[in-house]
Amino acid sequence: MNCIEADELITALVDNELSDLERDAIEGHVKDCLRCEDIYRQEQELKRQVRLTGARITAPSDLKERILSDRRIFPGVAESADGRKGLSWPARIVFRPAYAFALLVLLVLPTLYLMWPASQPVSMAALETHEKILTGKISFVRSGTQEEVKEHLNRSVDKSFAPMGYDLSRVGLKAVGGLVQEVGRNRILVAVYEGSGPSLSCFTYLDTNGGVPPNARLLFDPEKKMSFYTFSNGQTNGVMQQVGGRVCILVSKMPLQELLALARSIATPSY
Amino acid sequence: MEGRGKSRVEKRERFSQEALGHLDHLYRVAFHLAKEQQEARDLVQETYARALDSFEQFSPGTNMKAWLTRILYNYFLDHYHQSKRWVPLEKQSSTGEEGSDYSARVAGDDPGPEAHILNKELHVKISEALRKIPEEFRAPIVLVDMGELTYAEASEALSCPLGTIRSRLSRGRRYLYKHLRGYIGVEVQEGRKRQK
Repeated sequence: MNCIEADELITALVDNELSDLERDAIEGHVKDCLRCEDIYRQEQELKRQVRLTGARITAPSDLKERILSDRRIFPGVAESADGRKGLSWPARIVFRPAYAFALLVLLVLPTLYLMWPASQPVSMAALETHEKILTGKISFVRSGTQEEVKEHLNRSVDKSFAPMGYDLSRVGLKAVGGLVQEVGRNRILVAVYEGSGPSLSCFTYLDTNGGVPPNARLLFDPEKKMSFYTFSNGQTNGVMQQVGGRVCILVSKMPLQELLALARSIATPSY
Repeated sequence: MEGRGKSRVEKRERFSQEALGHLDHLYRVAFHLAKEQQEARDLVQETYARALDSFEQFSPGTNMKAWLTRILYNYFLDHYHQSKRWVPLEKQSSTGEEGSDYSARVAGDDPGPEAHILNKELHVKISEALRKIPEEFRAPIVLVDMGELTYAEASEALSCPLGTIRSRLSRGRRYLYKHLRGYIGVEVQEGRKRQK
């Protein structure tokens, strides 16, 4: 046996995946070959360290919650056998104090966590928030349908205003959840869209001044008589527009021109 | 009829609970396949949804861990091929050399431990190094070394022959070791050999 032939057998020896015959052959070679003995010991140590590394990685606690509350996986959680089956989603939550409390915590905690300094422009905070959503640094409440996302966000600001609630299914995105963010005095409703393309966050808040970032580029759409502001940070792009008293910012890693075209296509003038 | 329906619901519930016992394993695998943590979470959640959709295809007494891993890996591949959203990590720093010999490039990749932050923990280095090697070699290492799957189970999960698992593991560990040279040390036996 030469050393090249021995390589794969050494791997299998480390993993205890050899027949008796193969084991005898490779053990004999390793005993007599300095190079292969070193490789054997390296692989043993590497495997041990990789296993220890793996053992330190455990599923985040909120992932288990997400799975437990996913009605595709645990329908029993949402449809109990005691007659509440036909109730709507908010009503079922009212009947479940623990669930309602968990939801309250989930709504309040992101709100507190996301209180940004007043000096932070909303537009720039939106880019940062989107990045944190993508990397899992910010968790959000997942809901079943677009209507549920809209209702949940609307209720979280005492129905004082509603998120834009865009239907983005034509670009392969659907609303999957949302959270509430505070930037200065603004309460901002963030709807998260996921699907076949890059994820998108839609920020809605009340402001007549808009909070346009200083380096934003302005584009006026003569057909809709609306102004759109575009801005970016790295690969994350934002498009802002004002609809009546509400400001809407779409943030995504999709190319800026694509995002702008999407914003223009779905925007509805307020006149 | 109702009894049969109830029994199916109970069976499904039992299956779900048992499947949840493999959550850490699935997340560990997803963590090393997906580009971002959020994607890893989505990947695991979708795996459970898919597994529950077809739980009746699972044969009790066979290896649920391997079966779930296979669903996760297939979903990862499907999603990657469909939308390119989950990009294997080695593509992140693509320099257009992907077709060239990976081993040759790895050899000069690491400037050595002196150039790195000294207090970086070894397990962080290992996770980083794993993300640098191509997915075809990374997956068997994650399944066998981290997930403690046998070659036969890994072969089933990755839908490839057992011999391929062995050769990819062998090459994958060489690449990984090159990335970790200076961090994982083994005492050289030269002295002992010479005394023989």
